[in-house]
Amino acid sequence: MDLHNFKTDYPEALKTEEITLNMGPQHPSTHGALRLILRLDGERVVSARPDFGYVHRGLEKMAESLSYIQYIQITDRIDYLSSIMNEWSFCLAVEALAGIEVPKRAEYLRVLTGELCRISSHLVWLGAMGMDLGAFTPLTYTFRDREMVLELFDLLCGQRMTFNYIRIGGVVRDLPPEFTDQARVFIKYFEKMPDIYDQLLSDNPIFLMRMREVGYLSAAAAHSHAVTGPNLRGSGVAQDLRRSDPYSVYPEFDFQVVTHPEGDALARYRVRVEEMRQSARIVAQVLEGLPEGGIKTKVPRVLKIPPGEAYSRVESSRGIQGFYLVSDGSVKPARCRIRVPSFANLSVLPQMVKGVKVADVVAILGSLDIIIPEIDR
Amino acid sequence: MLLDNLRKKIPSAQIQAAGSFGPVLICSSATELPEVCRILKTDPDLGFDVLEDQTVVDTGTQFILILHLVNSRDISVRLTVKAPVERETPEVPTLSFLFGCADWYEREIYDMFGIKFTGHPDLCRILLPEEWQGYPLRKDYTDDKLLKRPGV
Repeated sequence: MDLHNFKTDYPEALKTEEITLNMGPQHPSTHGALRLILRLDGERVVSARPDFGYVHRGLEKMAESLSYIQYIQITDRIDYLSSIMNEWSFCLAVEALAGIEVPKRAEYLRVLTGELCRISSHLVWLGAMGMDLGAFTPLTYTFRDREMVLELFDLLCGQRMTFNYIRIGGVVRDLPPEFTDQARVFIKYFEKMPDIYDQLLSDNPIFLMRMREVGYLSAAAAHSHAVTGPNLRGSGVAQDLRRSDPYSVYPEFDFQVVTHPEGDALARYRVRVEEMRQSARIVAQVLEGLPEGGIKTKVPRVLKIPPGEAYSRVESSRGIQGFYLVSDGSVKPARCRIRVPSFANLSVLPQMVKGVKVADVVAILGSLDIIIPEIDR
Repeated sequence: MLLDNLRKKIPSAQIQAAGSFGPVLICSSATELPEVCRILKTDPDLGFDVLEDQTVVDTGTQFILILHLVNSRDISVRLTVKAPVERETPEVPTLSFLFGCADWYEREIYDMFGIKFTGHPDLCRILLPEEWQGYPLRKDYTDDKLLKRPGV
Protein backbone atom coordinates (compact mmCIF):
# COMPACT_ATOMS: atom_id res chain seq x y z
CA MET A 1 0.00 0.00 0.00
CA ASP A 2 1.23 3.44 -0.88
CA LEU A 3 1.04 5.18 2.46
CA HIS A 4 1.58 8.66 1.01
CA ASN A 5 -1.46 8.45 -1.22
CA PHE A 6 -3.68 6.68 1.31
CA LYS A 7 -7.10 8.26 1.00
CA THR A 8 -9.42 8.41 3.98
CA ASP A 9 -11.83 11.08 2.83
CA TYR A 10 -14.36 8.69 1.32
CA PRO A 11 -16.18 5.86 3.11
CA GLU A 12 -15.13 3.08 0.71
CA ALA A 13 -11.71 3.15 2.33
CA LEU A 14 -13.20 1.87 5.57
CA LYS A 15 -14.14 -1.59 4.54
CA THR A 16 -15.55 -3.99 7.14
CA GLU A 17 -15.77 -7.73 6.76
CA GLU A 18 -16.66 -10.75 8.84
CA ILE A 19 -13.83 -12.94 9.97
CA THR A 20 -13.81 -16.60 10.90
CA LEU A 21 -12.15 -17.47 14.17
CA ASN A 22 -11.27 -21.00 15.05
CA MET A 23 -11.65 -21.57 18.79
CA GLY A 24 -10.19 -24.92 19.81
CA PRO A 25 -10.01 -27.92 19.53
CA GLN A 26 -7.28 -27.28 22.10
CA HIS A 27 -8.55 -24.36 24.11
CA PRO A 28 -8.47 -23.99 27.89
CA SER A 29 -12.15 -23.07 28.14
CA THR A 30 -13.52 -26.00 26.17
CA HIS A 31 -12.50 -28.59 28.81
CA GLY A 32 -11.56 -31.18 26.26
CA ALA A 33 -11.37 -31.26 22.52
CA LEU A 34 -14.22 -29.08 21.29
CA ARG A 35 -13.83 -26.80 18.30
CA LEU A 36 -16.03 -23.78 17.80
CA ILE A 37 -15.99 -22.11 14.41
CA LEU A 38 -16.98 -18.52 15.11
CA ARG A 39 -18.00 -15.98 12.49
CA LEU A 40 -17.20 -12.58 13.94
CA ASP A 41 -18.27 -9.08 13.05
CA GLY A 42 -15.71 -7.10 15.00
CA GLU A 43 -16.16 -8.18 18.59
CA ARG A 44 -19.61 -9.71 18.07
CA VAL A 45 -20.41 -13.30 17.21
CA VAL A 46 -22.49 -13.66 14.05
CA SER A 47 -22.71 -17.43 14.16
CA ALA A 48 -21.05 -20.34 15.90
CA ARG A 49 -20.68 -23.88 14.74
CA PRO A 50 -19.49 -26.51 17.21
CA ASP A 51 -17.36 -29.26 15.75
CA PHE A 52 -16.67 -32.31 17.90
CA GLY A 53 -16.04 -36.04 17.78
CA TYR A 54 -12.33 -35.85 18.58
CA VAL A 55 -12.68 -38.42 21.37
CA HIS A 56 -15.30 -40.59 19.70
CA ARG A 57 -14.64 -44.15 20.84
CA GLY A 58 -17.64 -45.89 19.32
CA LEU A 59 -19.14 -46.85 22.67
CA GLU A 60 -22.49 -47.75 21.12
CA LYS A 61 -20.81 -50.07 18.62
CA MET A 62 -18.61 -51.52 21.36
CA ALA A 63 -21.71 -52.55 23.35
CA GLU A 64 -22.73 -54.91 20.55
CA SER A 65 -19.63 -57.04 21.10
CA LEU A 66 -19.54 -57.07 24.91
CA SER A 67 -21.74 -58.88 27.40
CA TYR A 68 -24.03 -56.81 29.62
CA ILE A 69 -21.79 -57.30 32.65
CA GLN A 70 -18.62 -56.41 30.75
CA TYR A 71 -20.18 -53.22 29.51
CA ILE A 72 -20.75 -51.71 32.97
CA GLN A 73 -17.15 -50.56 33.25
CA ILE A 74 -17.34 -48.99 29.78
CA THR A 75 -20.28 -46.84 30.89
CA ASP A 76 -17.94 -45.21 33.44
CA ARG A 77 -16.14 -43.60 30.52
CA ILE A 78 -19.16 -41.82 29.09
CA ASP A 79 -19.28 -38.99 31.61
CA TYR A 80 -16.20 -39.61 33.70
CA LEU A 81 -17.19 -37.02 36.31
CA SER A 82 -20.46 -38.70 37.17
CA SER A 83 -19.68 -42.31 36.33
CA ILE A 84 -22.03 -43.67 38.98
CA MET A 85 -25.04 -42.20 37.16
CA ASN A 86 -24.03 -43.90 33.91
CA GLU A 87 -23.58 -47.28 35.57
CA TRP A 88 -26.85 -46.78 37.41
CA SER A 89 -28.76 -45.90 34.28
CA PHE A 90 -27.31 -48.84 32.36
CA CYS A 91 -28.07 -51.29 35.18
CA LEU A 92 -31.62 -49.92 35.44
CA ALA A 93 -32.16 -50.71 31.77
CA VAL A 94 -30.78 -54.25 32.11
CA GLU A 95 -32.81 -54.83 35.27
CA ALA A 96 -35.96 -53.68 33.49
CA LEU A 97 -35.22 -56.05 30.59
CA ALA A 98 -34.45 -59.06 32.76
CA GLY A 99 -36.98 -58.30 35.52
CA ILE A 100 -34.39 -58.20 38.32
CA GLU A 101 -35.29 -56.75 41.72
CA VAL A 102 -32.79 -54.66 43.65
CA PRO A 103 -32.52 -54.95 47.47
CA LYS A 104 -33.41 -51.87 49.48
CA ARG A 105 -29.94 -51.45 50.95
CA ALA A 106 -28.44 -51.49 47.46
CA GLU A 107 -30.86 -48.79 46.37
CA TYR A 108 -29.72 -46.65 49.30
CA LEU A 109 -26.08 -47.23 48.43
CA ARG A 110 -26.79 -46.23 44.83
CA VAL A 111 -28.37 -43.00 46.01
CA LEU A 112 -25.47 -42.39 48.40
CA THR A 113 -22.78 -42.82 45.75
CA GLY A 114 -24.84 -41.03 43.12
CA GLU A 115 -25.24 -37.92 45.24
CA LEU A 116 -21.57 -37.92 46.27
CA CYS A 117 -20.78 -38.12 42.58
CA ARG A 118 -23.02 -35.16 41.86
CA ILE A 119 -21.22 -33.12 44.52
CA SER A 120 -17.81 -33.97 43.10
CA SER A 121 -18.94 -33.25 39.54
CA HIS A 122 -20.40 -29.86 40.47
CA LEU A 123 -17.21 -29.04 42.38
CA VAL A 124 -15.10 -29.64 39.28
CA TRP A 125 -17.48 -27.49 37.27
CA LEU A 126 -17.39 -24.69 39.86
CA GLY A 127 -13.61 -24.55 39.93
CA ALA A 128 -13.37 -24.68 36.15
CA MET A 129 -16.07 -22.05 35.71
CA GLY A 130 -14.20 -19.65 37.99
CA MET A 131 -10.97 -20.32 36.17
CA ASP A 132 -12.58 -19.69 32.77
CA LEU A 133 -13.44 -16.20 33.98
CA GLY A 134 -10.01 -15.58 35.48
CA ALA A 135 -10.65 -16.47 39.12
CA PHE A 136 -8.05 -19.07 40.04
CA THR A 137 -8.65 -19.31 43.79
CA PRO A 138 -12.03 -21.14 43.74
CA LEU A 139 -10.40 -24.03 41.88
CA THR A 140 -8.02 -24.67 44.76
CA TYR A 141 -10.93 -24.69 47.21
CA THR A 142 -13.20 -26.93 45.17
CA PHE A 143 -10.47 -29.43 44.32
CA ARG A 144 -9.43 -29.60 47.98
CA ASP A 145 -13.03 -30.47 48.92
CA ARG A 146 -13.51 -32.82 46.02
CA GLU A 147 -10.48 -34.70 47.29
CA MET A 148 -12.49 -35.64 50.38
CA VAL A 149 -15.24 -37.11 48.18
CA LEU A 150 -12.69 -38.99 46.11
CA GLU A 151 -11.15 -40.42 49.27
CA LEU A 152 -14.58 -41.73 50.24
CA PHE A 153 -14.89 -43.39 46.84
CA ASP A 154 -11.36 -44.74 47.17
CA LEU A 155 -12.39 -46.36 50.44
CA LEU A 156 -15.54 -47.82 48.91
CA CYS A 157 -14.47 -48.86 45.41
CA GLY A 158 -10.67 -48.71 45.45
CA GLN A 159 -10.91 -46.13 42.68
CA ARG A 160 -10.99 -42.37 42.61
CA MET A 161 -12.66 -42.19 39.19
CA THR A 162 -14.38 -44.75 36.90
CA PHE A 163 -15.71 -46.54 39.97
CA ASN A 164 -17.24 -49.70 38.47
CA TYR A 165 -19.36 -49.92 41.61
CA ILE A 166 -22.94 -50.61 40.53
CA ARG A 167 -23.84 -54.10 39.36
CA ILE A 168 -26.89 -55.57 37.70
CA GLY A 169 -29.12 -56.37 40.69
CA GLY A 170 -27.34 -54.23 43.28
CA VAL A 171 -23.88 -52.92 44.07
CA VAL A 172 -20.54 -54.70 44.20
CA ARG A 173 -19.60 -54.26 47.86
CA ASP A 174 -20.95 -52.99 51.13
CA LEU A 175 -19.66 -49.96 52.99
CA PRO A 176 -16.36 -50.54 54.78
CA PRO A 177 -16.64 -50.01 58.57
CA GLU A 178 -14.87 -46.62 58.64
CA PHE A 179 -16.89 -45.21 55.71
CA THR A 180 -19.92 -43.93 57.65
CA ASP A 181 -17.88 -41.88 60.12
CA GLN A 182 -15.68 -40.43 57.42
CA ALA A 183 -18.74 -39.55 55.32
CA ARG A 184 -20.37 -37.85 58.33
CA VAL A 185 -17.23 -35.79 58.88
CA PHE A 186 -17.33 -34.73 55.24
CA ILE A 187 -21.02 -33.79 55.35
CA LYS A 188 -20.50 -31.76 58.53
CA TYR A 189 -17.54 -30.02 56.93
CA PHE A 190 -19.30 -29.49 53.60
CA GLU A 191 -22.41 -27.83 55.10
CA LYS A 192 -20.82 -24.39 55.20
CA MET A 193 -18.72 -24.71 52.05
CA PRO A 194 -21.28 -23.47 49.46
CA ASP A 195 -21.38 -20.18 51.39
CA ILE A 196 -17.62 -19.89 51.13
CA TYR A 197 -17.72 -20.55 47.37
CA ASP A 198 -20.36 -17.85 47.18
CA GLN A 199 -18.10 -15.43 49.00
CA LEU A 200 -15.32 -16.21 46.56
CA LEU A 201 -17.38 -15.93 43.39
CA SER A 202 -20.83 -14.43 43.64
CA ASP A 203 -19.69 -11.63 45.96
CA ASN A 204 -17.07 -10.76 43.38
CA PRO A 205 -18.24 -7.84 41.19
CA ILE A 206 -16.14 -8.92 38.20
CA PHE A 207 -17.61 -12.42 38.31
CA LEU A 208 -21.12 -10.99 38.59
CA MET A 209 -20.60 -8.68 35.63
CA ARG A 210 -19.35 -11.56 33.50
CA MET A 211 -22.26 -13.82 34.47
CA ARG A 212 -25.34 -11.66 34.96
CA GLU A 213 -27.61 -11.27 31.93
CA VAL A 214 -25.17 -13.26 29.85
CA GLY A 215 -26.24 -16.31 27.84
CA TYR A 216 -29.98 -16.03 28.25
CA LEU A 217 -31.80 -19.30 27.68
CA SER A 218 -35.59 -19.19 27.56
CA ALA A 219 -37.63 -22.13 28.80
CA ALA A 220 -39.14 -22.52 25.31
CA ALA A 221 -35.73 -22.75 23.63
CA ALA A 222 -34.59 -25.17 26.31
CA HIS A 223 -37.56 -27.47 25.67
CA SER A 224 -37.11 -27.27 21.92
CA HIS A 225 -33.50 -28.41 22.28
CA ALA A 226 -34.36 -31.00 24.98
CA VAL A 227 -32.05 -29.22 27.43
CA THR A 228 -32.25 -30.89 30.84
CA GLY A 229 -30.69 -30.72 34.27
CA PRO A 230 -29.36 -27.59 36.00
CA ASN A 231 -29.40 -25.67 32.69
CA LEU A 232 -33.16 -26.17 32.43
CA ARG A 233 -33.73 -25.42 36.10
CA GLY A 234 -31.74 -22.21 35.64
CA SER A 235 -34.48 -21.13 33.23
CA GLY A 236 -37.11 -21.51 35.94
CA VAL A 237 -38.46 -24.95 35.01
CA ALA A 238 -38.78 -27.17 38.07
CA GLN A 239 -37.96 -30.45 36.36
CA ASP A 240 -35.80 -32.97 38.09
CA LEU A 241 -36.30 -36.67 37.37
CA ARG A 242 -35.71 -37.43 41.04
CA ARG A 243 -39.00 -35.62 41.74
CA SER A 244 -40.83 -35.40 38.40
CA ASP A 245 -40.52 -39.07 37.49
CA PRO A 246 -38.94 -40.71 40.54
CA TYR A 247 -36.77 -43.78 40.27
CA SER A 248 -35.00 -45.83 42.94
CA VAL A 249 -35.78 -44.65 46.51
CA TYR A 250 -35.71 -40.88 45.92
CA PRO A 251 -39.34 -40.37 47.10
CA GLU A 252 -38.14 -41.30 50.62
CA PHE A 253 -35.78 -38.35 50.89
CA ASP A 254 -36.43 -34.74 51.67
CA PHE A 255 -34.74 -32.33 49.28
CA GLN A 256 -35.66 -29.35 47.15
CA VAL A 257 -35.62 -29.04 43.39
CA VAL A 258 -33.60 -25.85 42.96
CA THR A 259 -34.74 -23.40 40.30
CA HIS A 260 -33.86 -19.86 39.37
CA PRO A 261 -36.09 -18.02 36.91
CA GLU A 262 -33.57 -15.63 35.31
CA GLY A 263 -32.23 -18.00 32.66
CA ASP A 264 -28.78 -16.39 32.52
CA ALA A 265 -25.37 -17.84 33.30
CA LEU A 266 -25.59 -16.61 36.88
CA ALA A 267 -28.87 -18.49 37.42
CA ARG A 268 -27.28 -21.72 36.23
CA TYR A 269 -24.36 -21.07 38.57
CA ARG A 270 -26.69 -20.53 41.54
CA VAL A 271 -28.68 -23.68 40.75
CA ARG A 272 -25.55 -25.83 40.83
CA VAL A 273 -24.17 -24.35 44.03
CA GLU A 274 -27.50 -24.89 45.78
CA GLU A 275 -27.79 -28.40 44.33
CA MET A 276 -24.58 -29.40 46.06
CA ARG A 277 -26.18 -28.43 49.37
CA GLN A 278 -29.28 -30.50 48.55
CA SER A 279 -27.14 -33.50 47.56
CA ALA A 280 -25.29 -33.25 50.86
CA ARG A 281 -28.66 -33.29 52.62
CA ILE A 282 -29.62 -36.49 50.78
CA VAL A 283 -26.30 -38.12 51.69
CA ALA A 284 -26.89 -37.27 55.36
CA GLN A 285 -30.37 -38.83 55.20
CA VAL A 286 -29.04 -41.99 53.56
CA LEU A 287 -26.42 -42.37 56.28
CA GLU A 288 -29.12 -41.97 58.94
CA GLY A 289 -31.64 -44.37 57.46
CA LEU A 290 -29.50 -47.02 55.77
CA PRO A 291 -31.50 -50.26 56.04
CA GLU A 292 -29.91 -53.63 56.82
CA GLY A 293 -30.02 -56.45 54.32
CA GLY A 294 -28.39 -57.78 51.19
CA ILE A 295 -26.64 -55.59 48.66
CA LYS A 296 -27.10 -57.67 45.53
CA THR A 297 -29.65 -60.00 44.02
CA LYS A 298 -28.09 -63.18 42.70
CA VAL A 299 -27.65 -62.87 38.96
CA PRO A 300 -26.26 -65.69 36.78
CA ARG A 301 -22.68 -65.22 35.64
CA VAL A 302 -23.69 -65.54 32.02
CA LEU A 303 -26.72 -63.32 31.90
CA LYS A 304 -29.12 -64.22 29.08
CA ILE A 305 -31.70 -61.49 28.66
CA PRO A 306 -35.12 -62.24 27.13
CA PRO A 307 -35.80 -60.44 23.83
CA GLY A 308 -37.27 -57.00 24.26
CA GLU A 309 -36.34 -53.40 24.77
CA ALA A 310 -35.93 -51.02 27.69
CA TYR A 311 -35.35 -47.32 28.11
CA SER A 312 -34.00 -46.13 31.43
CA ARG A 313 -33.16 -42.64 32.53
CA VAL A 314 -31.63 -41.03 35.57
CA GLU A 315 -30.99 -37.45 36.62
CA SER A 316 -27.26 -37.18 36.10
CA SER A 317 -25.20 -34.14 37.17
CA ARG A 318 -25.86 -32.57 33.77
CA GLY A 319 -29.41 -33.67 33.04
CA ILE A 320 -31.23 -36.72 31.82
CA GLN A 321 -28.90 -39.61 31.07
CA GLY A 322 -30.59 -42.57 29.45
CA PHE A 323 -29.96 -45.95 27.90
CA TYR A 324 -32.10 -47.53 25.22
CA LEU A 325 -31.31 -51.23 25.07
CA VAL A 326 -32.63 -53.74 22.58
CA SER A 327 -32.07 -57.40 23.36
CA ASP A 328 -32.32 -60.24 20.86
CA GLY A 329 -32.16 -62.92 23.54
CA SER A 330 -28.39 -63.39 23.49
CA VAL A 331 -25.77 -62.42 26.06
CA LYS A 332 -24.95 -59.17 24.25
CA PRO A 333 -27.21 -56.20 23.50
CA ALA A 334 -28.42 -55.98 19.90
CA ARG A 335 -28.45 -52.20 20.13
CA CYS A 336 -27.33 -49.88 22.89
CA ARG A 337 -28.22 -46.24 22.47
CA ILE A 338 -26.80 -43.77 24.97
CA ARG A 339 -28.86 -40.63 25.54
CA VAL A 340 -26.50 -38.04 26.99
CA PRO A 341 -27.49 -34.66 28.44
CA SER A 342 -24.48 -32.70 27.15
CA PHE A 343 -25.24 -33.47 23.50
CA ALA A 344 -28.63 -31.79 23.69
CA ASN A 345 -27.33 -29.06 26.02
CA LEU A 346 -24.59 -28.10 23.57
CA SER A 347 -27.01 -28.05 20.63
CA VAL A 348 -28.54 -24.86 22.02
CA LEU A 349 -25.18 -23.04 22.17
CA PRO A 350 -25.17 -21.61 18.59
CA GLN A 351 -28.47 -19.93 19.36
CA MET A 352 -27.27 -18.58 22.72
CA VAL A 353 -24.03 -17.01 21.50
CA LYS A 354 -25.55 -15.18 18.53
CA GLY A 355 -24.79 -11.46 18.93
CA VAL A 356 -22.72 -11.71 22.12
CA LYS A 357 -19.11 -10.63 22.50
CA VAL A 358 -16.34 -13.16 22.03
CA ALA A 359 -15.33 -13.08 25.70
CA ASP A 360 -18.88 -14.01 26.69
CA VAL A 361 -18.73 -17.21 24.61
CA VAL A 362 -16.33 -18.57 27.24
CA ALA A 363 -18.72 -17.67 30.06
CA ILE A 364 -21.73 -19.17 28.27
CA LEU A 365 -19.92 -22.36 27.34
CA GLY A 366 -18.67 -22.71 30.91
CA SER A 367 -22.11 -22.13 32.37
CA LEU A 368 -23.60 -24.96 30.27
CA ASP A 369 -21.31 -27.49 31.99
CA ILE A 370 -20.80 -29.75 29.00
CA ILE A 371 -18.45 -32.70 29.12
CA ILE A 372 -16.80 -33.73 25.89
CA PRO A 373 -16.34 -37.53 26.24
CA GLU A 374 -20.06 -37.72 26.90
CA ILE A 375 -20.92 -35.83 23.72
CA ASP A 376 -18.48 -37.80 21.58
CA ARG A 377 -19.14 -41.23 23.16
CA MET B 1 -57.21 -40.90 28.56
CA LEU B 2 -53.96 -40.36 26.72
CA LEU B 3 -54.54 -43.50 24.68
CA ASP B 4 -58.02 -42.34 23.67
CA ASN B 5 -56.66 -38.98 22.61
CA LEU B 6 -53.90 -40.63 20.60
CA ARG B 7 -56.40 -42.92 18.83
CA LYS B 8 -58.68 -40.01 18.06
CA LYS B 9 -56.04 -37.53 16.88
CA ILE B 10 -53.80 -39.93 14.96
CA PRO B 11 -56.11 -42.59 13.52
CA SER B 12 -53.57 -43.76 10.94
CA ALA B 13 -51.08 -45.09 13.50
CA GLN B 14 -51.14 -48.36 15.34
CA ILE B 15 -51.00 -47.97 19.14
CA GLN B 16 -49.59 -50.29 21.79
CA ALA B 17 -50.76 -49.40 25.28
CA ALA B 18 -47.56 -50.19 27.16
CA GLY B 19 -43.99 -50.13 25.92
CA SER B 20 -40.59 -49.51 27.43
CA PHE B 21 -41.20 -45.76 27.40
CA GLY B 22 -44.91 -45.04 27.68
CA PRO B 23 -47.34 -46.06 24.93
CA VAL B 24 -45.89 -46.93 21.54
CA LEU B 25 -47.16 -45.27 18.40
CA ILE B 26 -46.24 -47.24 15.28
CA CYS B 27 -46.42 -45.38 11.99
CA SER B 28 -46.72 -47.41 8.81
CA SER B 29 -44.11 -45.29 7.07
CA ALA B 30 -41.53 -42.70 8.11
CA THR B 31 -42.93 -40.22 5.59
CA GLU B 32 -45.86 -39.69 7.97
CA LEU B 33 -43.58 -38.59 10.80
CA PRO B 34 -43.56 -34.79 10.28
CA GLU B 35 -47.35 -34.65 10.26
CA VAL B 36 -47.72 -37.06 13.20
CA CYS B 37 -45.12 -35.16 15.23
CA ARG B 38 -46.71 -31.83 14.40
CA ILE B 39 -50.01 -33.10 15.85
CA LEU B 40 -48.24 -34.64 18.85
CA LYS B 41 -46.44 -31.37 19.55
CA THR B 42 -49.12 -28.77 18.91
CA ASP B 43 -52.32 -30.50 20.00
CA PRO B 44 -53.24 -29.18 23.48
CA ASP B 45 -54.48 -32.60 24.63
CA LEU B 46 -51.20 -34.29 23.70
CA GLY B 47 -48.45 -31.69 23.98
CA PHE B 48 -45.42 -33.92 23.39
CA ASP B 49 -43.10 -31.02 22.72
CA VAL B 50 -39.75 -32.35 23.96
CA LEU B 51 -37.84 -34.79 21.77
CA GLU B 52 -35.79 -36.45 24.47
CA ASP B 53 -34.06 -38.86 22.13
CA GLN B 54 -34.11 -39.89 18.51
CA THR B 55 -32.37 -43.02 17.35
CA VAL B 56 -32.40 -45.94 14.95
CA VAL B 57 -32.26 -49.71 15.38
CA ASP B 58 -30.96 -51.87 12.56
CA THR B 59 -32.84 -55.17 12.55
CA GLY B 60 -30.82 -56.55 9.64
CA THR B 61 -33.74 -56.32 7.22
CA GLN B 62 -34.88 -52.76 7.89
CA PHE B 63 -34.17 -49.71 10.00
CA ILE B 64 -36.60 -48.60 12.69
CA LEU B 65 -36.56 -44.92 13.52
CA ILE B 66 -37.42 -44.37 17.17
CA LEU B 67 -38.45 -41.14 18.88
CA HIS B 68 -38.72 -40.78 22.64
CA LEU B 69 -41.03 -37.88 23.39
CA VAL B 70 -42.06 -36.30 26.67
CA ASN B 71 -44.38 -33.50 27.69
CA SER B 72 -42.58 -30.39 28.89
CA ARG B 73 -45.18 -29.72 31.57
CA ASP B 74 -44.86 -33.21 33.05
CA ILE B 75 -41.87 -35.25 31.97
CA SER B 76 -43.35 -38.43 33.44
CA VAL B 77 -45.78 -38.47 30.47
CA ARG B 78 -43.87 -40.39 27.84
CA LEU B 79 -44.43 -41.63 24.33
CA THR B 80 -42.42 -43.75 21.93
CA VAL B 81 -42.91 -43.30 18.21
CA LYS B 82 -41.61 -45.93 15.81
CA ALA B 83 -41.46 -45.89 12.05
CA PRO B 84 -39.87 -48.35 9.63
CA VAL B 85 -37.33 -47.12 7.09
CA GLU B 86 -36.36 -49.27 4.14
CA ARG B 87 -32.73 -50.27 4.05
CA GLU B 88 -31.71 -49.87 0.39
CA THR B 89 -32.00 -46.11 -0.12
CA PRO B 90 -33.05 -44.84 3.29
CA GLU B 91 -34.70 -41.42 3.14
CA VAL B 92 -36.81 -39.78 5.81
CA PRO B 93 -38.27 -36.27 6.01
CA THR B 94 -36.56 -34.15 8.65
CA LEU B 95 -38.09 -33.16 11.99
CA SER B 96 -35.62 -30.33 12.59
CA PHE B 97 -38.26 -27.67 11.91
CA LEU B 98 -40.31 -29.02 14.84
CA PHE B 99 -37.62 -29.82 17.41
CA GLY B 100 -34.39 -27.85 17.76
CA CYS B 101 -32.38 -30.83 18.93
CA ALA B 102 -33.50 -33.01 16.00
CA ASP B 103 -30.95 -31.14 13.85
CA TRP B 104 -28.04 -32.82 15.62
CA TYR B 105 -29.77 -36.13 16.37
CA GLU B 106 -30.47 -36.52 12.65
CA ARG B 107 -26.89 -35.68 11.78
CA GLU B 108 -25.76 -38.39 14.19
CA ILE B 109 -28.17 -40.91 12.66
CA TYR B 110 -26.89 -39.97 9.20
CA ASP B 111 -23.35 -40.39 10.48
CA MET B 112 -23.93 -43.82 12.00
CA PHE B 113 -26.63 -45.36 9.77
CA GLY B 114 -26.51 -43.38 6.54
CA ILE B 115 -30.16 -42.38 6.61
CA LYS B 116 -30.73 -39.23 4.56
CA PHE B 117 -33.04 -36.66 6.09
CA THR B 118 -34.70 -34.70 3.31
CA GLY B 119 -35.11 -31.01 4.06
CA HIS B 120 -32.44 -31.03 6.77
CA PRO B 121 -30.63 -27.65 6.84
CA ASP B 122 -27.12 -29.05 7.19
CA LEU B 123 -26.82 -32.80 6.80
CA CYS B 124 -23.20 -33.89 7.30
CA ARG B 125 -21.23 -36.14 9.61
CA ILE B 126 -21.13 -35.03 13.21
CA LEU B 127 -18.91 -37.41 15.22
CA LEU B 128 -16.83 -39.20 12.60
CA PRO B 129 -14.36 -37.47 10.26
CA GLU B 130 -15.83 -36.18 6.99
CA GLU B 131 -13.83 -38.64 4.89
CA TRP B 132 -15.02 -41.73 6.79
CA GLN B 133 -16.30 -44.55 4.57
CA GLY B 134 -19.42 -46.45 5.55
CA TYR B 135 -21.87 -46.23 8.43
CA PRO B 136 -20.55 -48.02 11.53
CA LEU B 137 -23.73 -48.85 13.41
CA ARG B 138 -25.21 -50.79 10.51
CA LYS B 139 -25.14 -54.49 11.28
CA ASP B 140 -23.31 -55.33 8.05
CA TYR B 141 -20.56 -52.74 8.55
CA THR B 142 -17.03 -54.02 8.15
CA ASP B 143 -13.74 -52.27 8.43
CA ASP B 144 -10.11 -53.48 8.12
CA LYS B 145 -9.37 -52.21 11.62
CA LEU B 146 -12.39 -53.74 13.30
CA LEU B 147 -11.20 -56.36 15.78
CA LYS B 148 -12.95 -59.68 16.03
CA ARG B 149 -13.66 -60.31 19.69
CA PRO B 150 -13.63 -63.82 21.08
CA GLY B 151 -17.12 -64.99 21.92
CA VAL B 152 -18.53 -64.15 25.32
